[in-house]
Amino acid sequence: MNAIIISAVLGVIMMFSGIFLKKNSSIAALAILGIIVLLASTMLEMSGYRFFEIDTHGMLNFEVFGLLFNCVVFAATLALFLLNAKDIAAIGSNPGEYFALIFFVLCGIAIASSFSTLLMLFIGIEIISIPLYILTGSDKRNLRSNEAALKYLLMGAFSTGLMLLGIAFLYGASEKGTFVIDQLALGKAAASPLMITGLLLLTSALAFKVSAAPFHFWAPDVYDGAPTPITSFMATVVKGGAFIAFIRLFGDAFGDIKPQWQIFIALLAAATLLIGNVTAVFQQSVKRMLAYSSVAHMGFMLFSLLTLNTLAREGIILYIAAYCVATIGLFAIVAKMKDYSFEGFNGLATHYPKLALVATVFLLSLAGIPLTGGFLGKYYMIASVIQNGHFLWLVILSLVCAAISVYYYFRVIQAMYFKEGPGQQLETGSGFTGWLIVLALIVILLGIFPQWLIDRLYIIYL
Amino acid sequence: MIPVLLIAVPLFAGLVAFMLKDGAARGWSLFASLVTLVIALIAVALPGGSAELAVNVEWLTGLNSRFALQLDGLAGILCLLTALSYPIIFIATRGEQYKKAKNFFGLMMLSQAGMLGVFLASDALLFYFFWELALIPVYFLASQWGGEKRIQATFKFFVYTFLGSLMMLVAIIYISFHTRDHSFSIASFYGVKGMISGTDQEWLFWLMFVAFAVKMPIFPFHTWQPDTYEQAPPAVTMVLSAIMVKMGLYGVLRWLAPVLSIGTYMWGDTVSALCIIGMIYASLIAIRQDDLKRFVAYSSIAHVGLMCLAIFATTESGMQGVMIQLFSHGVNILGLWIVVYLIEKKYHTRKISELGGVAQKAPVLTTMLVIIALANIALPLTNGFVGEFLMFNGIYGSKATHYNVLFMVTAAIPIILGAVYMLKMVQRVFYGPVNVLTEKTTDIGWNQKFVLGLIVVLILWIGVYPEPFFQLTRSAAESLLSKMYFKP
Amino acid sequence: MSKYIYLVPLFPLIGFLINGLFRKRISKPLAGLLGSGMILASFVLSLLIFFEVKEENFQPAIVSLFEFIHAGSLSVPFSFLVDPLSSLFLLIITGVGFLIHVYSTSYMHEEDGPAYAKYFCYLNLFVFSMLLLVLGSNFVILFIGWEGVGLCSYLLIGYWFKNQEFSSAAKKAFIMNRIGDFAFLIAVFAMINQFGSASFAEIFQQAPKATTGFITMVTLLLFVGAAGKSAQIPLYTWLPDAMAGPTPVSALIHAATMVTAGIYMIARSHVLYDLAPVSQTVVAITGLATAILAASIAIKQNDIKKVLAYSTVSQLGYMFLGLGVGAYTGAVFHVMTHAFFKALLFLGAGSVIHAMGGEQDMRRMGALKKFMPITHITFLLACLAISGVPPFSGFFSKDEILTAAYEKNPLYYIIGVAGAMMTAFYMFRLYATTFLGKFRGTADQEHHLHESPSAITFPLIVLAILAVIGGFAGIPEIFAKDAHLLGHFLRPVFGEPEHTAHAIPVATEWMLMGVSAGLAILMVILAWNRFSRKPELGEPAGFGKLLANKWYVDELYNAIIVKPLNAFAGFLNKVVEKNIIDGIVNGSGRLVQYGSRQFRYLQSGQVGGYVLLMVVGIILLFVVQLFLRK
Repeated sequence: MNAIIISAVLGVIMMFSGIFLKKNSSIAALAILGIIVLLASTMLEMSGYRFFEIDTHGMLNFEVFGLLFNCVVFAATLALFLLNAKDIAAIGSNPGEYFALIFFVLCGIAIASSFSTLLMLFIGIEIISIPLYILTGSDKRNLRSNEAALKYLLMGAFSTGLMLLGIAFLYGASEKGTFVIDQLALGKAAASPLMITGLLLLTSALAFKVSAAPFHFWAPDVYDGAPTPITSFMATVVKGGAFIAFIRLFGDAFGDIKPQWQIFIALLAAATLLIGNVTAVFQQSVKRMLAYSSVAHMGFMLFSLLTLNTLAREGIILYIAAYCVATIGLFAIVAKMKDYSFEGFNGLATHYPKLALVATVFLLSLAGIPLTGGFLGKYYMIASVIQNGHFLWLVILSLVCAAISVYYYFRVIQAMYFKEGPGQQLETGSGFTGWLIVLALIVILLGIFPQWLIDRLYIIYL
Repeated sequence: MIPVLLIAVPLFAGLVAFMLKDGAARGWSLFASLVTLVIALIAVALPGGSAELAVNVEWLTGLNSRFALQLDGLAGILCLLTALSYPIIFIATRGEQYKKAKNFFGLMMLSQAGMLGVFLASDALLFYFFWELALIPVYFLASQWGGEKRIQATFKFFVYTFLGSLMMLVAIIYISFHTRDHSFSIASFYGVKGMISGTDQEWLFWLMFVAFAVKMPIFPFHTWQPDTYEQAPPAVTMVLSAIMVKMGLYGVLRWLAPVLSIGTYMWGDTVSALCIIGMIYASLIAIRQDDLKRFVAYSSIAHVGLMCLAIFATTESGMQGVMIQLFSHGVNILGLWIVVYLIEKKYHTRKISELGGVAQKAPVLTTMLVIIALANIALPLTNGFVGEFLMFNGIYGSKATHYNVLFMVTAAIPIILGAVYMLKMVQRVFYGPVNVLTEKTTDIGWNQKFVLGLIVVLILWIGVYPEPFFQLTRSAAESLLSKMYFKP
Repeated sequence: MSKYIYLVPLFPLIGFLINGLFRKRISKPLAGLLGSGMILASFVLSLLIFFEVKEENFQPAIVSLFEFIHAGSLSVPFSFLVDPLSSLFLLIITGVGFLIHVYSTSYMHEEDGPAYAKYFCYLNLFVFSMLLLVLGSNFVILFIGWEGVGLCSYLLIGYWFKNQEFSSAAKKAFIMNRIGDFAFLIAVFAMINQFGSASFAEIFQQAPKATTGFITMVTLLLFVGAAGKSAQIPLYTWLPDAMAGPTPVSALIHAATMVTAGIYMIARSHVLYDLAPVSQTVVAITGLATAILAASIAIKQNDIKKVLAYSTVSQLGYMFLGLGVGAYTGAVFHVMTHAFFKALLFLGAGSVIHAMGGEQDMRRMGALKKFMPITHITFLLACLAISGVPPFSGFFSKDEILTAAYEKNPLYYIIGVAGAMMTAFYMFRLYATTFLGKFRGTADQEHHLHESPSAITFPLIVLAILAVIGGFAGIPEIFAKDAHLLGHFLRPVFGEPEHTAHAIPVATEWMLMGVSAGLAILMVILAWNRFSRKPELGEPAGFGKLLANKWYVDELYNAIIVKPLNAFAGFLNKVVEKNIIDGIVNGSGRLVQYGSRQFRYLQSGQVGGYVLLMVVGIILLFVVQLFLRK
């Protein structure tokens, strides 16, 4: 509850911050302060301090899993702000608004991670989406930004339609006539075609939000067009936010009719892995490559949805955490570059050895090399499928895809270290580099001693 | 405690090297590698199974994986090889100039840490961690300081091995789920035999074996090797072929054959056939190589094939032979690479056809090379003979297959072919009249004399009196063999 | 005494190490002195040991030095065996070896310091390996020496490595030997796995329990090994080429000692051969064939060393014939006498070549008789000995073999005698063309002709004496009871020599002896007359050409083995490796690239297209979900 209200309030504050704060930097500082507060409040709630006692009539249900998850994404946002707050503020004329919208998105995520009825799910998802349409187009003078925004809006609308249709079907299918997810599929050994249809539609809509193939086509274009910090935000925090909704829906509502839907989740995962990785190989711009890589990673995340066992629930948090940190870090560097094609990275190691080093750490993590958080994430995902026993073909496919992913991640490393280049000027403060190093350390820490996070997870299930 | 030191010293030294001046890094890494060597010597000197040689502490409790290291005879002899190789490499390539030298030496030390870790780990997940940790620095080393086609060659090598190790990871996870306590400890891995059906073991076997086969490499997974050896800088090539190749064999010895014993038994004949095809195939190709580096690469493939074959023979003699040969092959191939490196440095070519008459100008170098070459073709009283003799004997006496005699006989054909290509190389490069290229050159410097001399001494020592090495590895060979399966 | 046996190989080893390590600093006289001195030392020791072994009540002793290879049940000690056979070989090796060392000190004096020292270091290493070979008490130690002599001959043939042809000859020798060793090793592993040990005692004692099939296989494999080492069909072609080495080396390695390793090994494992009649027949026939073939080639050679080389091959053939028919004593006896006269022949030839300033073609020699008397006399004696003219040594040993052959199968005897006739013929062709007639070399050569220095002539004289009297060590029993000292000496090893059991009447034996001797003498006179008057100087034609070109065997091997193998290797290297195997690897990479380019077209940038694809996706899911899963 804390998160929802505080993030909303913060959003409003940020909206008006522009009036009494003139300097971008101070607005950015305020935003950072805000996100810290938000994070702190959520942590407190996790350990039982609720500031607001509101009866939601069973509409919302705050369990530790969701809260912990919120912590992760809020922390990710914090990292994003620490690195790119200035860039966000510098997107356009009225910086306050961008932060405001971001906070509203966070509010949506807080709802989406704690819904207990389909209506709340819908509201959460929409609260996430609408500010994003605006953020995507926030760079008004940039045509590609506007185009991206429009595309996103159109397709988003389409998916919203699907979602509503799906919810309607499910409502009809539940004999009690309820939106409460816990009661939807209760006592049904085999779900009715009606319900399956609804489920399918809902899945498609959510698949769109998390950009799982074949509903991912918007992602590369939008990510490419949007201002880089926003892309970073969408590719990490938002994706995660939508995905937790996914997990909660299937976990709570349809956990007991797994066999009915596992196959098409498996198919989604396979398609996502394949298309995401293979398409990324050919990209010429790092930013676009990262867009595809975010699609590819969604393929792995879907494993947890497929199996929904303990390993999956533990793993997905770790996975998202590691993925967010690495991706945000990389986007932060990309945001500083004029030319973010692969050639643009040539010789970065000679001019900015520190940046190159941390970038390498992030890339290795994304590629899933041991000693990085990315590896453990992948480990959990694969392990959960193996434990599940079926779908070993999916595991093998994922191996091949992981090998492919090495190709495009290492292209960046090769460019930075093994190729000579002029090396473009980046305005990077020591603070920026410092925070990047911190992130890199976190990635490695997650890789070697993930115990802290895992212990939290155990608390949840004890 | 000692295993931790073995890994920590080079690891720490590597990290420090990154912060030093280029000049200082060179000396520092040599010093560190010598310290490591001393520790390794102490480790093998200690009586087997003593408490100092094992470490086991909490690590990834969530995954039932512990930070467990264990130094037995097998690990001992390989750690010794690793610890010995690095100083030798550093001294032999002393004259070499690298830009960003500190990074070079830093990465070198890191790779050593990784490899030592691989040999010491007694927890499957930890083993996998080190397996990759050893790979990454080598990747950077090879593709930053190598020849002009280095990036593609190294990348091919990386993706190839990476895909292999992912397969291994899947197998490891699968096995650990079937262990009694769902853990990764080697003990429970050895206990898993009964709990995985034969049919499952058969496909699991390949998941693991491919990873190791790529590293060794076994035909037909070998094509990355000649390219990588050709492109990588000399020092790295030495590391690759002296030590990294052993990782594959070690993996089979420690983590595959004793764990998936049924699967190993089931596929024994297939793998053996592959090994033999590879040996003959590589030997024949070696005859036709004009580039010294590729030449050595193929000869190495032929030798490794024999070791792998001997493992699958599952006999005491064979195991013992492999363990000696792991060390001997490392020493010999190191010697060959040093010679190749010196030749390229002197004459700026690796083309056998362009060389000739080196013997007249560099008699010492020639003498050393001839001895090393003879060790390579397993002449008696050299280390190569002891290992190969035992391995062939083991293959002949194998109970794990019906084709043991056939295997032994066909596998012995490279004895002849080896002589053919080795002597051909010696003749073309060292004998015959001097030509414009080799006309005015001097013999090798003191540091190369020293390392080559050291190698020759080792060759003869193991060749004449191998008993100490037997004593070091005997118990390991027996215990591993006892876990493997064959129809009595 | 025999507990000091290890000193015998140790001395040469020391010589090898000192000469090898300090060849830069050491002076030439010192190097020579060291080299020869060490051999002399081990010769003296061998003598002492020999006398100890001669004692009636001597028991074969096994002296174990240390554990060589020990893995599991297999244990191979580094141990020596002292018995009549090995002690006899010790004498031959160190004795003849010493003389050749002495000879070399003068013969090689043109070499510069380091090269000179290197020569002696190789020579000592060779003697060392040869001693290991005959002393080893199990097949592994024997194999060490076995490969060791192969290595040394490689090093010594290629001693003048500047010359590519010479180093090729060296390579050929080593590889041919390796082919033999390949078979030998297989036999060793077979025995180890059958009998659980590699030691002679163990194996021979258990052998009778094994099946005949197994023993036959093992003995045949061993024989292939012997054929490689002792230059028998089909692996003999390396020996003539091996003449590339310095002449004393040819004398030592390719006449007196190394090539007899095969004889020794089979004689040593005669227990096995007695159990495998098939193998015995194979050995006998191969030996006989080689004897004839080599002899026929020798008739038409003009290079003085080549003639001797082929005569060596042919004499070895006789020894194998002896082994094949079970006349082990005879074979060993012939090894001994052959060591004397063949060494003498080579050293004599060396002396001639030395005088002729490196000239080896007999057609440019002649009338050397008056220029170098000592060489001439000794050489003549050697020729008589090898031709089997009584009472020279060759007669007795060859006769013993032939008689035994007759017992087995008269045909053997007839072919053997034919070979012996050829031997007499080509030896005196050689003798006559070289020493008789008139000088055909350049005036310059003639001017330089001289008798060689004493360091060269001394060994010649000593060997000549041995070549003359050496035969009396094995006088046939028909002359006098127990006259066969050698047979008596070796009896502990070989047991009762078969042919003294008088399977054939004495009269026949006299007759056989007479026939072979008479025919030999006949050929001697024939050749003497013919070639002293008009030596053949022109290029041979017709059948002679075939012989002169050694039946084109080298060319044959080249065509059916070497060339195809090379071609195949090239095919693997160019096609299979590059295109097929690596092609698949790189191909998979390209496949991904290609797929990537195709997938990219889905990313059209058209919202409409995207929506369409999404709808298609949904429909597909429906199909799968609602229909396929039923």
